[in-house]
Amino acid sequence: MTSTMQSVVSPEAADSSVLSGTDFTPSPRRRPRRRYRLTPLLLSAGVIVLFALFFLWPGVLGLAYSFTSYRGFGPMTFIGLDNYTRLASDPTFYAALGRTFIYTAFSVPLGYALSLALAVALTNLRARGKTAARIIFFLPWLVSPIVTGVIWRWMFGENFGFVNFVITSLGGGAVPWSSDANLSLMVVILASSWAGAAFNMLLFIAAINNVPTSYYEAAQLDGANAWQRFVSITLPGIAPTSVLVVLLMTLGQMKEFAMIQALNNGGPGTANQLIVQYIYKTGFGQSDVGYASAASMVLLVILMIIALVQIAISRKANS
Amino acid sequence: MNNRIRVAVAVVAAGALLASLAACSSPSSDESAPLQFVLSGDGTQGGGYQKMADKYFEETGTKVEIVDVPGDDLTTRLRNSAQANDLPNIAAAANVDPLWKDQLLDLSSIAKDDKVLPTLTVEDPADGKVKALPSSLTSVGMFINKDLWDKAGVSYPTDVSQTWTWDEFVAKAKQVQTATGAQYGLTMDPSAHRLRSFLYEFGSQGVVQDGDSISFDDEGRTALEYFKGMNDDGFMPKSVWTAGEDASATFKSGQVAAYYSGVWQIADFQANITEFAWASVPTPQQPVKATNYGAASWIVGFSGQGKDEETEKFISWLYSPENYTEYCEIAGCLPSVSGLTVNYPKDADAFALYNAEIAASPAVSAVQTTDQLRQGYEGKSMDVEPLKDETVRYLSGEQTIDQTVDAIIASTKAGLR
Repeated sequence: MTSTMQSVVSPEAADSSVLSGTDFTPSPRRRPRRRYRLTPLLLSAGVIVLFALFFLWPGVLGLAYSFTSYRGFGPMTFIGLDNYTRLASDPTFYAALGRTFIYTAFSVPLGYALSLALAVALTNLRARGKTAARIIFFLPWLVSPIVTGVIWRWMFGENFGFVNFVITSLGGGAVPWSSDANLSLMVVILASSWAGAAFNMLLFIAAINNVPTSYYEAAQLDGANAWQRFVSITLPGIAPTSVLVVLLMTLGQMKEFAMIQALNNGGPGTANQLIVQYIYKTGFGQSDVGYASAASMVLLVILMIIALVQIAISRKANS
Repeated sequence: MNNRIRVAVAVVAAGALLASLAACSSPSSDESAPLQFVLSGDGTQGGGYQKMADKYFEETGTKVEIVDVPGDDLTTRLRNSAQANDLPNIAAAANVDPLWKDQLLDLSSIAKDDKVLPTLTVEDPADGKVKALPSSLTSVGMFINKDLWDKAGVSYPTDVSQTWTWDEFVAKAKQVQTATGAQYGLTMDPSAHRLRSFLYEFGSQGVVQDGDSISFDDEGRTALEYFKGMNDDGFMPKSVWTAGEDASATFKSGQVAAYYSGVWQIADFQANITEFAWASVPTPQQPVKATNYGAASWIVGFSGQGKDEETEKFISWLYSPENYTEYCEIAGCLPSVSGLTVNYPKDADAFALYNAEIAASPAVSAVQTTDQLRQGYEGKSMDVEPLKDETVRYLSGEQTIDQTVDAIIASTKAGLR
């Protein structure tokens, strides 16, 4: 059972009999009855229909739109690769994409460190409030990204935010959290790291609990201190989960939209406008659906490359 | 047996899912269903439409359901409804959308019979029919925190015959700031509507479209530079325009000497400002006396929803002199119908000042909303506002004034293609 839990991210380790929903493995000479073959399909029919309806079909439509001058209404004229060639020479697109990479490069390590620190702290907590603490730290995950953005906006509002209120009450000057591009980005990174840490913390808690306690006991007998135990036992023990968390966070941050939209609308100006905001504004704001679809397809390819690279790393980590 | 149960559960689950998806299709036009009226901001304007809907129900027994959605979502909601073939019966829309422009009822007779202002009566160039009526007349204006100005002992004009330039206004507001410790001298809604008014006061014609040609004059450039100066020197909270902080909330905090907004705020201020006294004052001019006025929104009726006659009947009832006057008094707005005497229960002088400023404004002050409506009729949709968006980038230091002007022209051209 333990081995199964540790190989969540390892497809080749998946037990087909478990996935098929039955512990019955037919012998080569005896073909399964028809209903056994249909059961898994029927059980997953809902998901398949939803996936096809809300992911696959819009994806196909998006790909089709990207070769047209469609504006969300009116005629849909085929223009070949024009949208893609236009993208290739669009500095605003590159700027938004570059900003997204920078945002991801800062927010993923910070989010990783924060969620792991929380997991380690809550795993080692011996106090009676352990469960309550886990629930409290998990609450941010239940809050919608829009609400998270609004909360952080209240905290870091330039004119009447809580943080500036404290600073000015202590005699300092108001900090331009919103109108300074770098400070504004820093606030967004902090907010997204805080919001995402809760879910990743749970994954890490599960992974840490799967590391055999005998390893720690042996290390303690050998005189290893807490830091050494963490570096030599915990980190290698949770490597597959770490890879999964980094993959999920990277893909999530590359697609960040709602929270930054609520927090500062990509501001000041467009200084922190990320790629999905750019796509949204182009598609829905400027009614340039064909062009926005082309940008979406480029983003999809980038995300697939990132995912493939990280899956390869994950396999390596597992092996 | 277990396997049978499992298969049965799977079949039932799949069936339930498909049934729930099927339920997402457009609803039937139920005879007993109320007329649906989608709008934004009725709650902050005294619930005028809700009260009129209640009155209509009492008089006719026909229920009108008011659906108040956030302003930012209104356009998207109507588009989604059109694409799902599930439009409401009535909407107070920001503009006519190319997506549903061909599904509008002809309101020409209501516009004519109820004397809708000629400047706000726009015919669809395609067939000469009026398909959108101005919900009310909206106009840009200046509010001050009266307590701060009085406390500082700084004078200000009170009616349209008294004038002040932007230079004089800024100097006086800075005196107020210094004397009272107010955090800012001025805040302004981050909107192209307000910015256009500001440009007109500097003698600009704003973003001018002449056929396929788009231009932006030197007076407009000067106005934008002046505006940036006010943002850069801390006279205005820069975060309002560059990062979307709430201008109204900033003013309501009592820490700002003046607020450049519009007539629609009066009802909200009456209800929600209790900590200090406020007043409407003439807008500064540099050197032009101007505002920016037009339709607050456009009332449209959608055809093909199974209730065309009832929809038209309600709109006609709403625009009858007695009912429309009552609506304006409840919602605290200027009428877009001529020949009415509206008795505002409070702040009548503020409404009078707005009317006087509208009368004193040049012709350019009247064209923004009607031009946009014509563009909507012609199938040109521009949800973004290049004037605002590029000004924000200018204020944020992302581009120079020259780049800003060029970008305004280029983006406007692209948006209207």
